[in-house]
Amino acid sequence: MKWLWLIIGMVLLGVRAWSQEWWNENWTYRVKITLKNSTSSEWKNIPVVITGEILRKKTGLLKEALASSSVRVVETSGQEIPVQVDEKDNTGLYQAVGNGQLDKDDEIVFQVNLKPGESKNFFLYYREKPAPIPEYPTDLKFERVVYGEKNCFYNSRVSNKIISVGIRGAATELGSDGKLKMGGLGKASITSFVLNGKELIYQGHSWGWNLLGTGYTTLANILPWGEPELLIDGPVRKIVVCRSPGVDKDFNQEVSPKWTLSGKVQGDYYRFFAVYAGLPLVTVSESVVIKQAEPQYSALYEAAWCPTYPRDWENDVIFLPLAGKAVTITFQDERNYQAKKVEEGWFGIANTREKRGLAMFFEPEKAADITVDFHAFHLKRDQVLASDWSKKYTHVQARLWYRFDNFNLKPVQESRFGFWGLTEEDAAGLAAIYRGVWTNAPVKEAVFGFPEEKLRK
Amino acid sequence: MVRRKLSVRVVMSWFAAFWLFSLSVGAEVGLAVYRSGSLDGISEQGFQRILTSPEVVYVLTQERPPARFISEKTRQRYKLLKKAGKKVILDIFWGPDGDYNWDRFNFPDIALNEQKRQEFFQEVVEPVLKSLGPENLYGVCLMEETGLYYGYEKTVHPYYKVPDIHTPSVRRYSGLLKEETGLDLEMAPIWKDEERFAFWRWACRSLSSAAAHRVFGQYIRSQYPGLKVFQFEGLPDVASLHYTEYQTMSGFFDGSLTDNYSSPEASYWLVADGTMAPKAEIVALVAGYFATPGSDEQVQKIKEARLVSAVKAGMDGVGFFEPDEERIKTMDYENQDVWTFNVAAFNRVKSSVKPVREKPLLIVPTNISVGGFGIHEYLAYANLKNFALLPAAEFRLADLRNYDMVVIFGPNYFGRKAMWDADYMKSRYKVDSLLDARRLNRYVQEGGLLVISGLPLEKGSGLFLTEENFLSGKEVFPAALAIPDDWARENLSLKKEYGPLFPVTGYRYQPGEGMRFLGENVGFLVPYGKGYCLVLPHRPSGKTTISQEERLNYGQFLRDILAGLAKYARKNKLQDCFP
Repeated sequence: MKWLWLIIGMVLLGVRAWSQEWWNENWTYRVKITLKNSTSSEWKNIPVVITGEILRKKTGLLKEALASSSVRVVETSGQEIPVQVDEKDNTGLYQAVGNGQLDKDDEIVFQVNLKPGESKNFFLYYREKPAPIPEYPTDLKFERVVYGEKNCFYNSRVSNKIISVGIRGAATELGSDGKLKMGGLGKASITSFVLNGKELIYQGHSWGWNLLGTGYTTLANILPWGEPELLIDGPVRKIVVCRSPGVDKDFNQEVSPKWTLSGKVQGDYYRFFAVYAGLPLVTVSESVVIKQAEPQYSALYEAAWCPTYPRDWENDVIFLPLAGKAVTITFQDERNYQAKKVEEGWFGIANTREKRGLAMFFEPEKAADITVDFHAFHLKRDQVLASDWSKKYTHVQARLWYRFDNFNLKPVQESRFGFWGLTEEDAAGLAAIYRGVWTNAPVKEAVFGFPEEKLRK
Repeated sequence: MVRRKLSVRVVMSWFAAFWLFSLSVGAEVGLAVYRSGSLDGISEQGFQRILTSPEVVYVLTQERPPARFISEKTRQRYKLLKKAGKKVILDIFWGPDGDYNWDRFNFPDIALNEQKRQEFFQEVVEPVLKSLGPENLYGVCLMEETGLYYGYEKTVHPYYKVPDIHTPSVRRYSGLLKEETGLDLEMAPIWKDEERFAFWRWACRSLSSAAAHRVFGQYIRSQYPGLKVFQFEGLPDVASLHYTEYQTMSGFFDGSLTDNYSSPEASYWLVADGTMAPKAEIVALVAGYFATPGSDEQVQKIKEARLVSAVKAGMDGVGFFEPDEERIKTMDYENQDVWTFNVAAFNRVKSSVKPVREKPLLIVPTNISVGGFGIHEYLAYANLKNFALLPAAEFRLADLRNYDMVVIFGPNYFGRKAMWDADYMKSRYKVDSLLDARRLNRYVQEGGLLVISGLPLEKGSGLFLTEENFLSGKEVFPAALAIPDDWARENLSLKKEYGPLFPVTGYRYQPGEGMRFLGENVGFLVPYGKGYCLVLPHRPSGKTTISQEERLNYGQFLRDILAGLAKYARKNKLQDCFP
C-alpha cells in the first residue's frame, strides 16, 4: 500500500503546483515558463525576449487575438516583474504604435536574475482584452541633447544607472568655419559610451572613432541619416531610431574605398538602438527595408574605444572565443585577433586594473572577416609606444565585414551588434553574458508549460 | 590582373628607370611572343609572322588537358616552330573547374601528397606533353602567374592573408605544420607577428605553387632530361613581404617567365628576377599598349623604355603583352601594324642596349610596394646605377661576397627575431628569418658596407649594432629634414641641408659608444671590423600625397650619402653606381 500513498501524494503535489494561485482574477490565461542558467556565471537582469511566434510554437495556444498590453510576468512568489511588449510591423521593424495585438514578430521583453545552474519558474499572464500599461520602476532615461554643448558630441542620450549612450544623428551641424563638425562623420552611430561615469569613446577624435560610425563604416557616413528619435519608451528597454529613407545607391560605383561597402540597394535604412534597464548593454540593429537589391552585399563595421585615459597598455586584455574556449590575451603577448570565420560572435577589450572596457557582440554567421587589436590598425605597436599622444589616446579598433549572398531574398535584412560595458568580467564571464544576452539562450533553453485558462466561477 | 592608369608622374618614373644602369656588356636578347591559350587559336597570318620573323626566339604557349582536345593543327604548329628553331616554352594550364579542377589538383596536394602528385603527373602533365611531343618543346612550366590565387582549391590562397583553420589546404596539412614548426593552426587567429611570419615561411616552403614546382622540376628532369623546367611567376606580390617562392624553387628550375605589366616598379622587379635567379634563362613580357594613353610617339617611348629596362636587367627574352584599352587580348603578332611597330622597337633597343653585368651594389627592400607606393617612388630619384635588387624575403639567395655595399630598406618589420635572428627562427620554428644578422655582421667585419634605413633596432636581434651597444631604438618621429654636421659634410661630401624629404618619418635611435653621429636626422656611421655600417633613420613608407620636391630631395640625399660612404670607405668599384 505504501507505493499507492506515494503516488497519491505525488499527484496531489503536482496538482498543487499546477494550480498555483492565480495571480489576478482579471487575467484569463497563463503559461508557465522555466528558465535556466546553464552557464557557470551569474546572470543579473538578463533580458528575456520572447516573440509571439516562439510563444505560439512552444505553447500551441494563442489561437485567440491577445492584447499585447495585457502581458504580465509573475514570479512563483506572486511578485510581478517589469515587462514590455514591443510591437513590430510584421516585417521586423519596431513600431511606436502597434496594432495592440501580440503578433508573431512582436517581442515580450523582461529581465531575470539567475544564479549559475539555477532554474526558475515564471508565469506569463495574458488576455484578449487590453489592459492598462503599468508604471514599472525603471532607471532608463532618454534625453535630447544640443550637439556640442557641455562637450556632448551627440544628439540624444539614453542612459540607465550604469551606462549613458550618446547617439549622433544627421551630423549636419556646422562649425564657426562653416564646415561640418567632426567632418560630418559618425552619423547614426554611438559617439559616446559612458560606463560608471567614465567615457570610453575619446571625444577628441575629429575623424569619428566611435561605435559603428568610423570613417570606414561607410554606411554611417554616406547615407542621409535623420536625427535620433525615441521610438519605444519602455521600462525594460528604450529604443531609439535613426532613419535614412529612400536610399537608391549602387555602392559598387559610389563608394571609395570599395572594400568598405558593396552592393546595390533601393530601400529604407534604419538603425535601432536599444538600452536595457540595469544593464551595461546597448544593442544596435541596422534594418534595411528592401525594395530592390542585388544578392551580393557587403558592409564594413568598425568600432573604436579606449578602456582607459590615458591608455594603460600594461593592463589591457582582449577576451575572445578560440578553439572552444574563452581566451585572454594581453598586450604583452603581442597578439591580436584576426579570423575569417569566428566561432562565436563576441570579443572584449578591457583594462584589468581599472576594471573597465567594452565587449562587442555580433552575428558570427554573417561576419566574414574580423580583426581586433589593442590599437589602431594603421599603427604598428612600436609606433604606438613611440608617440606620447598615441601612448595616451590611441583607441582600440575592431573591424567586421558582414557579407550576404542573398541580400535580396528577404523584405527586411537585419544586421545586429551589441556593446556591453565590461567591469569585473573575465573571458569566461563574458562568454556567459554573450550566451545570456546575445544568443537569447534563456529562451532557447526554456521549458514552456501547458497554457492554462482561469476556471470560471 | 591589375590595370593601372599612367600618370605624368609614372611616365617620368619610367624615364628615370630607363637610365637605371650604365655599364653594359654582353649577350644577345631574343624577341618573345606570348599566346595565352592554345596555339590553335592563332590566326594563320599571326602564326606565319611568328614562324618567319628571325627576331622571334621564344614562343610562350599554353595548352591544357584533356589531350584529345589538342587539335592536329596545334600539334603541327609545335613541330613547325621547332623546325624553325624557335624555343617553345609550354605552360600547362588546368582547372579551375571541370575534370581537372583545383579542388582535385592543387598546388598544396601536388607538393605534399604523393598519390595526388602521381595522378596529376599522369592525368595532366603527361598527356599534354606526349600529345605535343616533348621533343618539340624547349621548356615547360605549370600554369601562369603562379604565386597568386591560381591553382588553389576554391581559389583560397593559403597564405595570402591571415590563414586559419577554415582554409582548406592549410587545414589538410595542419598536422605537418604542427610537426615541423610547432604552430597550432587552431590558434591562428591570435598568432603574433613572429608566429604568422613563421607560418608564411612554412607555407611558402611546403604548400605553395613554388613547392609544387619544386617536385614538378624533379619529375621533368628525371623523365625528360632534355626539357628545361621553367616557372611563370606573375606579379610583384609574389616575392614581396615574406614570400619565398624563389628560394623554395632554387635548384629545381632552369628559367623564369614573368609579366609585370605597366608599373614603372616592374623595371625593379626585372632586376630582382635576375638577382634571385642569376643563372636562370628569363623571358620577360612587358606591357605594350596596356593602359598607355598618349600619342604614337609617347607610346613608342614608353614601350622602348620598358624594353630597355628588361634588356638592361639581363633578360634573355623580351616581348610585349598587348591587351588593348578594351582589354581584348589582341597580341601584337595578330596585327601587322602593331607587329611592325614592336619588332622595330625591339631591334632598335637590341642594337643599342646591352645588359648590365657588373653590380657591386645590392638593394634589399623589405617591401617593393609600400602602401600603394612602389620602390620607383623614391629610389628612381636617387639615380642609382649598376645595382642588383633582392626582396628581403629572398635574402637567403644573396651571395654577399659579390657586393661591396648592401642597402636594406624598411619599413616592413616583423619583430626583432623574425626580422634578423636566423638561429632563433631556425631552432624555434624550423624556418628562416627574413634577414640574417650574423651573416650581415660577418659581411661588415670582412669589409662590406652595410646600410640600414628605416628599421627599428632592438636588443636581441643578433645584429652587432644592438648586441654590442652601438645603436638601438624603435621610436618613430617626424623626419622631414636632414641636416648633416660638419664632419659629414666634409667626409661624406653632403650638402648643408636636405628637405623636405619623402619618407616623412624616421626612427629615433639611442647612440652608444663607438659610432659617429652624422647630423640631425642624417644617420649614424659605425665602423666595425674592416667595414662600415651606415644607419639611416628614414622610413620609406606610404603617404597619401607625395610632392615631386620631396621625392627629388630624398633621392638626392640618398644618392649623396651612399656615394659619400663609398668614397669614404674607398670602394672604387661603387663609384659608378652613383654618377
